[in-house]
Amino acid sequence: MSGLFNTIEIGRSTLSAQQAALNVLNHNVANANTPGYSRQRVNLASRGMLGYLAMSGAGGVEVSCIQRLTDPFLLGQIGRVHTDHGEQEALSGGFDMLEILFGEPVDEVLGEMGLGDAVSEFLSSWQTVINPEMESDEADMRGLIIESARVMSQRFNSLAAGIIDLAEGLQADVRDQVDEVNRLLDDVAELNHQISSSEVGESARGDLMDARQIKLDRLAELVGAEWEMDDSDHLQVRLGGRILLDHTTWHGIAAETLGSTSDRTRGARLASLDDPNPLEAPGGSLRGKLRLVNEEIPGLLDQLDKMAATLIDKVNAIHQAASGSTGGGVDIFVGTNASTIAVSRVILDNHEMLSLNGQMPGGQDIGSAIFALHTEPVDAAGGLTIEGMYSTLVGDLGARSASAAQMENATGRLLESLEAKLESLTGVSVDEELTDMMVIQSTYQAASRVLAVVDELLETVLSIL
Amino acid sequence: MRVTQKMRVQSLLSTINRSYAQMANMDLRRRITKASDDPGGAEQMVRLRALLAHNDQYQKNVQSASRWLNYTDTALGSLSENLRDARELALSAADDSQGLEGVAESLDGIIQQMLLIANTEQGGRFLFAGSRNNLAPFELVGSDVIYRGDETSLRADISSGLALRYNVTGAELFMPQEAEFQSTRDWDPVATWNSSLSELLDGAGVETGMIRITDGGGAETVVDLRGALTLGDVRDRIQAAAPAMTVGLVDGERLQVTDTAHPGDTLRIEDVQGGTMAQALGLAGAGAGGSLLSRDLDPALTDATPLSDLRNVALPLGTVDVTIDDDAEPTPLDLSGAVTVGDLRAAFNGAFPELDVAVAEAGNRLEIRSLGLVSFAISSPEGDDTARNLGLEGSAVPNRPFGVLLDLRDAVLDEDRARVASLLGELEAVEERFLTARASVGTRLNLAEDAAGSLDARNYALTESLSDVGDADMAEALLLYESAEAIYQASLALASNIYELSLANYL
Repeated sequence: MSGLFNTIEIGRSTLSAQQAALNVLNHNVANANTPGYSRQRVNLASRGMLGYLAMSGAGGVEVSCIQRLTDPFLLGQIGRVHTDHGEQEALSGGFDMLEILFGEPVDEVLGEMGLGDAVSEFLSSWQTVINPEMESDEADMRGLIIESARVMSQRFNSLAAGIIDLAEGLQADVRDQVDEVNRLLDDVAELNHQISSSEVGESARGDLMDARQIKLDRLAELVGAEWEMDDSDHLQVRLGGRILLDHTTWHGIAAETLGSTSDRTRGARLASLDDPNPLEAPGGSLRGKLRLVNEEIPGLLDQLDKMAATLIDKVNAIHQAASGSTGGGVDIFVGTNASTIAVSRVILDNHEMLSLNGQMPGGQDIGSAIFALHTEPVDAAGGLTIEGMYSTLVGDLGARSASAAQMENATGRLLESLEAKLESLTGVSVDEELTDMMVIQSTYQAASRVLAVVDELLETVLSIL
Repeated sequence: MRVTQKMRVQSLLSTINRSYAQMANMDLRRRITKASDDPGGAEQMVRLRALLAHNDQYQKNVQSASRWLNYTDTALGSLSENLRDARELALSAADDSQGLEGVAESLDGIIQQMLLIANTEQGGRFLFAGSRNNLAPFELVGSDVIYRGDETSLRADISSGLALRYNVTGAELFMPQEAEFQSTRDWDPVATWNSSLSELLDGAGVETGMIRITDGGGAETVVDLRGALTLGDVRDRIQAAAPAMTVGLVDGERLQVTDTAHPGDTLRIEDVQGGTMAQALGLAGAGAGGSLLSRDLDPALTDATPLSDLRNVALPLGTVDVTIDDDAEPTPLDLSGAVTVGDLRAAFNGAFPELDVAVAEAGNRLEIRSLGLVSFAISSPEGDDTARNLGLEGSAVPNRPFGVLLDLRDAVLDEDRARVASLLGELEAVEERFLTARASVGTRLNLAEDAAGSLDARNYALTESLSDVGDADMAEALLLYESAEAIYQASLALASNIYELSLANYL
């Protein structure tokens, strides 16, 4: 038969269980705003009473486990959306920068001038009709043409330089992000080690897993890494079918720069440190950036180069063929692409070398011939004019940018709603915790009350003695 | 569903961010601020702006060209006035009853005045100097006026592929021109089998090529006429290739191709392999009744053309009177020995070294010009209408705008009234020259005005399209802005309220 002390023991178990519950509750409230934190719950279990009519002792309550509330399926989904979102965000960011570089459509009211305007202005500057009401001589008109040629060349140069800078910046981003991936893998391996360690308590293990989840999400966002966990909590991180991390051991990735140092923009690809085969990022920010560096930017630069090269060739050919009393017979532009186009030194040093009133072999004025380039299809395939090449380029860039921005937005929304869903399951509701607290409090008070009664009973018994 | 504080915060934050971003990105002026807002629209805007820039340039060109033409027109107007004054002075000076006091001075004044106009300058540019217009083009040196400009036509593009000439050169207006006139009559040489293809159509010539003849029976024959030189070659090749065809000359004017095998059926001739010969000859087409007639072949005159081949010149020829310079006696020139056009030319050129007789540009008559600035006249002696018959009756004076005025002044100073009277014709010719120039300027001004009108309309249309594509609908933008603002403010109010709500407040 149990004694009063057993009753005290039951009360004590109640008090300590409630205290444990209060501790976890407090831990929850404390971490209500901690990113990635999953709320924990104390699971209580009754200790069975022993003996007939509960007369032989024991009974009471004990903490069976501290449960971390989470949803691996939802987490996996969020990881995949992170991957998509990361890629679209990177793309959209890159396109945004490119759009800013081009600055089209320009704001006329603010007097902005785009490359297209500079080209139009250069072509128009050849229309040297003398306004009889303005004092201007041939030197002025030559100066005007050369200046607009210079402005246009600089536009090409600075646009190309901006694009190249952007590509270089993205290359640096790629390297940084590859480093980050390796750091994250290292962190996850270390966390796995700690999680598996037997010395860690249940609540602390939950916190460690939360910390690991943040890193796994980031890995998904960066390279589209996928993870898998077996029942014994053994974690594997994979990238495109290759195992990057096996619980506590990991293999890093590296970024390789492609092309030669003489290239204006260089491509890049991923590689793993222990496997010579190129590594394909299935998604994520790195894939977006690699696509920008390897395809989008070189493509855009190529179009710009074509435009510049066409201008250089056409204008030079006309000027070479022009005959007149002064100037002509030399190139106006030097260079072969958007980066190198420039007004030739010969012309800059001696404006007289520029043919102002030269005649083409067909009898046309040089001014008309060059101005007529604005209607001449110069692109064999599309029948586009030089300015048409530019407007197509702008429209094309806009369309790509718009589609990336739209995808970024869509994946962002999806991510938001999935995270809300997860938060609904794993997040801390302070009100709920407070309600629980009231329950704990009253249980604690009740148990204390029982103990007080037992105390009185003991006193009664002792007073008899 | 459980709702946690963090969820409320996040959903609020995203609402606040979204409406704030919407407000921040809204532009009341521009619908498209970056290309991705509306890629198609942005592309269109860039294209429209380029079109507008070109149109602007055309407008500037038209404006500047119109100004030039206007100044030129004014200058030509005062030139005519001065010349009229000069002629009035000359008329009175030629009249014996009038005194000559002050006339020479007035003429000097007029010369100076015209020189000044010839050197009209606008904004550092001399109107009548061609492309060398940074220097005064005319200078009076002794009794000669020297022209320092060139003969360049200045042109301005006023729309795609259309250039307007906006200057008149000093050479056109003031440089002495030889006396010249051409026959008033089309001599109309007949076509013969020897007529060269390159001389047909008044000298324009016919490019040889391949033709296809489809006879009345539907049989096709391709005749290669490439390299054919004369009408005889054409006949021979057609008849060789299609023996049923006969080629004849009708009235010495036209070729006739006849299908002798199918006299009642339709004969067709067309150009093949990109040729234009049948078209040029007027033979292309379908001829009912088995024959086709070409256009009037109008061969041009050559030295070898016999005078008997000239349909509009009656033979035999007689004598014409030629007068060189006003005061010389007429010299008879016997043309009866001439057999060919070349003989005619030789007769003139041999007798009068001052004259040059050549086939006129029209190809069907002669043109006579003076070598050196002398006037000449051709007239008919009594009872001989050879000159009229050739259409060569008439006179011509050289055109020396400054020279005639200087001569006039000298004649007045010399009190040579006869000389003054003889210069009146030249004065008139100069006046005529200025009037012609002015008329041409007027035509070009009209063209410029028309162009300006259509460029303005195009400018308006382009600007309107640009505005349609790129400008924001202000009312719509404002409404959107206000709704975004309302949402933003509501979210903020909600945020401040929601944080006060907590169970902790009631415990």
